[in-house]
Amino acid sequence: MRYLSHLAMTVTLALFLSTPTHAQNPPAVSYLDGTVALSAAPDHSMPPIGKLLVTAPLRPLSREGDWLRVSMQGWTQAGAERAIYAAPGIRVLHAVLSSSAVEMLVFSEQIADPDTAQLWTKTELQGWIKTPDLKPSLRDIWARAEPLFAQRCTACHQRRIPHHYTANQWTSHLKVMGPRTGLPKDDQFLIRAYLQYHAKDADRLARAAVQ
Amino acid sequence: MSIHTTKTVTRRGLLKGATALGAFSAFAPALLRAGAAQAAEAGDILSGSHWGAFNATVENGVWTKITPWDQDPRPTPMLEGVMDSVYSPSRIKYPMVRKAFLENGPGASPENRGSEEFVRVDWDTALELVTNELRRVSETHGPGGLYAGSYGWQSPGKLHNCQNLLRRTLNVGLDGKFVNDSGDYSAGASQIIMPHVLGTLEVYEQQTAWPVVVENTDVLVFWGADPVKTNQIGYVVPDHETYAHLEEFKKTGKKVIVIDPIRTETAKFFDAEWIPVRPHTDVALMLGVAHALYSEDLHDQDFLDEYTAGFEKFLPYLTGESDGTPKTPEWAAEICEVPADQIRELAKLFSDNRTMLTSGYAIQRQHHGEQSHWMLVTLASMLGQIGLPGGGFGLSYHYGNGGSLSANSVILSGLSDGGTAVEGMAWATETGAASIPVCRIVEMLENPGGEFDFNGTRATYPEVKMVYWVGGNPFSHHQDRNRMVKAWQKLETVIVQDFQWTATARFADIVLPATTSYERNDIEHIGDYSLKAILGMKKIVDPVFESRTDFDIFTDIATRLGAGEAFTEGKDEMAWIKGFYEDAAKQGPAKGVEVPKFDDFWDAGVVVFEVPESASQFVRYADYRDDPLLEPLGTPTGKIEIFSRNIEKMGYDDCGPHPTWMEPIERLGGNEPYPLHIDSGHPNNRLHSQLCGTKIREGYAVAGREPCVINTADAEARGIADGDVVRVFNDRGQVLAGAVVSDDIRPSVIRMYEGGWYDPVNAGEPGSLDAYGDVNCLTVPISTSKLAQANCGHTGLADVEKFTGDLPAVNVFEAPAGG
Repeated sequence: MRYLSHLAMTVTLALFLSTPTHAQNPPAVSYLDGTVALSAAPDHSMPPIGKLLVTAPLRPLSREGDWLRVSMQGWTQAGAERAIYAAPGIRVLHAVLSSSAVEMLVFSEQIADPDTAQLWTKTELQGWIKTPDLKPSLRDIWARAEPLFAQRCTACHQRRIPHHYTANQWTSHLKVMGPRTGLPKDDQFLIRAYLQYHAKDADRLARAAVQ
Repeated sequence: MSIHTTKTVTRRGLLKGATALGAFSAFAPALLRAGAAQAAEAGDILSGSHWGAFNATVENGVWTKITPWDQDPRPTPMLEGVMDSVYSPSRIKYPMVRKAFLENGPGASPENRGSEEFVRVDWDTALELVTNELRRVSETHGPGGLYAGSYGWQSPGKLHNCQNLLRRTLNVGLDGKFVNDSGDYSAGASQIIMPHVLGTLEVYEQQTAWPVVVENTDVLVFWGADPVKTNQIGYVVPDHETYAHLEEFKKTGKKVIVIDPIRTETAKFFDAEWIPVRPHTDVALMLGVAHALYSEDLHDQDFLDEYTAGFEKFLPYLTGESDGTPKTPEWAAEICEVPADQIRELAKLFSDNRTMLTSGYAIQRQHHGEQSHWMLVTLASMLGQIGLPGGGFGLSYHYGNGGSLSANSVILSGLSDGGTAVEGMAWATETGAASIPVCRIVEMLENPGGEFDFNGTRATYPEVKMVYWVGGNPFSHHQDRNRMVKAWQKLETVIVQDFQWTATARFADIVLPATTSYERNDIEHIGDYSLKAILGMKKIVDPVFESRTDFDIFTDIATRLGAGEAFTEGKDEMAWIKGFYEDAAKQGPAKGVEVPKFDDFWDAGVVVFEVPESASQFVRYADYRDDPLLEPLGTPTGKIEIFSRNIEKMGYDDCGPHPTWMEPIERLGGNEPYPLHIDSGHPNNRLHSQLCGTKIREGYAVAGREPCVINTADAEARGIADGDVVRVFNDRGQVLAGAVVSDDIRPSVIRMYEGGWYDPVNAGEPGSLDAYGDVNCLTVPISTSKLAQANCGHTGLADVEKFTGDLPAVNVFEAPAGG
């Protein structure tokens, strides 16, 4: 109950704060190619409030020098609002926040995932990122991910088939196997995202992304 | 000689190392030039194998002595066989073609495979034949015509990874048009079910560190696992670190329980409490323990609530509410022959103490094998110790020296399979599955166009006409040999590339002689999980007879297919090796490791990495236990799934949504067409079938045959004495073996290790007596279930009789006629 009233309050607050320009004509979504720190203000002296991960779908809102203010929609699981995922029940990680930053999230619809009965809430996040590499489509990101997967994930074992596993399973596999590639963390995230978007439940993921 | 990263590496230290190499150092400069590496005429050379790192002594260009690496804590006696594998009579000396194939072309009298003589050809002829066949089959039959899901324990080494080299050749030279495989014969069921239950493979993952177990575990259970036996080998070069930890645990005097039909090497090592469970009934025993835990309120409901999903849906099955059969200790005792009181005692012992339930792969290489580890994890969940130091379960302590400490090492890449995009396999939908579960190969050959289920999907078997096999011996690892011999006859062309005359090579049309690892240069890690060191696997002697390295053979084939440059990327053997090393070295700064220059590394032979303090405190699933919401598991719920909605949706009749006891096709006490269960565990003196063709066989063979361990009472009832030649038989096949009469095996069970070389008296004739003793002539060929489609090598019953006929000679360890 306490959670729901908190939610209602933030929803009201969000409506009050939203600007008419964006509401009428939202800018197109671009996809983050890389991992970047997220800040509350275009200011280096403040510690970041979280990080955005590769493939995070971002709408640019405004610019200030090298800094870009962005908005991102995603889903959080009740009780784990620090992690923002692509779709309810499909844990393709788009953002991780510090505990304090959760206060800044704007929550909207809440659904119970039919398979797990777990509550998932749609959320919007806003913040500043510096000189991000944004791509108009996920395909542009896969161009870098595909050879990385093909080269680095076939050297020790038989090539795995992306759609043999679910997006959630790929998270666990990469947690174990990612470090064994010797690749930088960002590249491991890239391979993970690529496999997740080509996983057994990729269709469900794509549908959720469209909505 | 090695470089340790614990200290800053100085030029002086390295030079000192080089001098200590003695006579060999005189040749060192030559090795530093890419492409110019030569075998030494004399000296000591450090190299490595699946059995460990070792020093090879060379005299006059001949390898004369093998000694373990001085930093191997527990070398295996199998090293002697490693040296012999180079010179043994089973060596393939020249390129060979089966006579009828050479004279009449593809598909000529396939029934004579395995018995017909071979004809020696030169390399040019052999490779032209191979290339023409690859082209012909691809053009005539499309991508589904060629099977290159070549599988097996190829030799270690990042470059001469022959299975990858084969796929690379076909990816760059034939546009990736071939049928591949998925999964393996070791842990095929578990690696499919565990991702549904825990999100991850489990079976090939680092375990809670041994020092944590030594300190915290009160009761250590080995449930169908024999780490003392199986950690002798590694998929890379084994570190053998487990053994010191086992010694430490033994010193504590804490309780060790071995649940196994056999009093294993591990049971003997610990003098453990042995529970000789009836084979194939482990799930029933686990259910009995679970029932005792629940009915006596010994289970951890808080853990189940917080960290697992679906226990409440499993519970009506456990109590019998849903099917009328409560899974009580009495119910279990009837099935598994462990007394009900003892089952209750186990429940109390496990819940009163910090208990580590370790298991190996045997109990999942059985009909309905998915259930075994699922139920083990369910049991561990009820005990509530997962993620606590020394508690929970572990499915890889027996493999790759799991639980030994992870070093802070830089990590080698390796040669990729040359494929660019996953979309390249789009043809799959038109001609059948691009990838089939590895152990379904015979079914695929028998049933082209037939549909099969696999983990929630349905696909079609392609019509395969040609097989190319490297680095493996399917005529050892596949079940039901006679059915396989028949299915193989449907193939038009079989190419085998190996260094010895395995049964698989004998049943081929074209045989290409590869070198052993010891006749070429390569690079590999020491320690499957620990990644303790990087080892230069230096060439010890020049290739014997006309053998060539795998890289050379495939370079030649790729070139003939017009893709030589894409295959080699312009690099020779040493350039690739140096590239892998230098690529890894780039990780050094980020990891705080000072990595020596390649030339210095190659000169010293090995670089050993530091083990950080944190490694000895690693507790598997501690992060999940600490924060289940932010460290969710890769399951739909993010929790341990005792009930899987995803599996429920598949609607399989042989794998339901929660762990279940299901009657297997054959078992003692169930459907019992023959009176003895066959335990076909991993050998103690081989790596699967590897080294069977070497002189170490003489140390264990009985009357020249593969040993068959039989209980004293069973032997007596059959008039069998220790050392007798026996015939082991059932409806699927018959093999000769040498009897070992023992009370280290429970009654009604016989043990024949897998990997004995198949030696049919009348090759090609299904049902022929096997003169040496390949246990897979007797095992069942069905799959575990529609979910994993894994093999059931540990399912099957047989009988044994004293063999009184004319004893056929064992021929499989010499080259075949013409060879």
